[in-house]
Amino acid sequence: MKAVLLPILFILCMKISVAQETNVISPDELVKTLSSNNGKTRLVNFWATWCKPCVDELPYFVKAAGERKADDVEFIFVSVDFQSQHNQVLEKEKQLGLKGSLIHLNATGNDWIDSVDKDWSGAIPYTLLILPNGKRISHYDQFETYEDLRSFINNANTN
Amino acid sequence: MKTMGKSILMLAFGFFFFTSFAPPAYKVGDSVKDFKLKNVDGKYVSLADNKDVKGYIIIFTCNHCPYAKAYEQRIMDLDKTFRPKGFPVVAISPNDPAAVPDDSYENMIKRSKEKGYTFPYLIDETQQVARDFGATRTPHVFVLNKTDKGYEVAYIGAIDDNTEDAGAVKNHYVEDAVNALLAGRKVPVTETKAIGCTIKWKS
Repeated sequence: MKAVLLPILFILCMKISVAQETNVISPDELVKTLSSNNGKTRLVNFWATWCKPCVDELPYFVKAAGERKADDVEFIFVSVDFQSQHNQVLEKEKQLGLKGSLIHLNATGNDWIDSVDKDWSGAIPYTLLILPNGKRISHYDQFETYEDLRSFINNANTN
Repeated sequence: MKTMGKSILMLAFGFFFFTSFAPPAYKVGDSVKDFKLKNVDGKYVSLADNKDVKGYIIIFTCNHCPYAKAYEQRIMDLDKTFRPKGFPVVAISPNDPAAVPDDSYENMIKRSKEKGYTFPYLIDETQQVARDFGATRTPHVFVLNKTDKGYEVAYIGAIDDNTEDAGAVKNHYVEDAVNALLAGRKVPVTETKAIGCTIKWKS
């Protein structure tokens, strides 16, 4: 019995650790990822550990992610913290219970901001919804309530 | 006559709507309206106060934002380099202190004393100046060039292209812009973006 359970436990642990993995990627890779279409609606949130309004609104995303599992919405969280803050990013992600694609952007230079959205000034929090047809809808401010976030996702879905 | 009155009223109404809900932000080439804001020494500062300048480096910044802090030394260095050449720094804190206590007037005074700021650090209590400029984040820079028409916006954006590491900067956007203006050349890059802290507006 033990001999069967242990490998299963091991695989389960592996799966969990894979799900929690935070990828460090370059702005070019991010722009490429966002432009490639995987047939899903993607909700991309740009945040940082030091950004209070970001940290305030992230629980709404966690709640929405929990409720929308069946809805084919992929949640992508992009931290723009300095690379030297990588451990703080991991800690905050764990503390907030962020799930989905976790990215720590190695963001040097400024050109990539235009490539994500030419109307975005670079102020965070910033949230981008990408529909399966590639259409992009931006939200340039903090979501004040969970309902605000939910209606943003819903309204965009009907577009 | 009646319809004309009506249409003028509607025009006025439309204008009111336009001005109150869509404040036009300055673009490169626009002349800016002068302002009068309170400095950390209690005195009020306007662009017109200093007759000898060739322009200004206006920086919307604040106490609390880690990105503003990362640039603090570079802001102080910009003033040291360019004040003697006629382009002094003017720092403006646009945040609502009710939302961010770190950015209160008292804390601004403290910070500027601790660090020995050589430039004015102004509080934009009504946030009108930040709105007029179209500032969205801290730090957010506007280089102004003094011309016959007034103070013209010559550059909008980031100080340079590396917030984390001043030693790894490749493009010194503000320095390059001011040096170009001093030499009578065209500003090489007139607009850039950067990650920054969103300005906390009064609700």
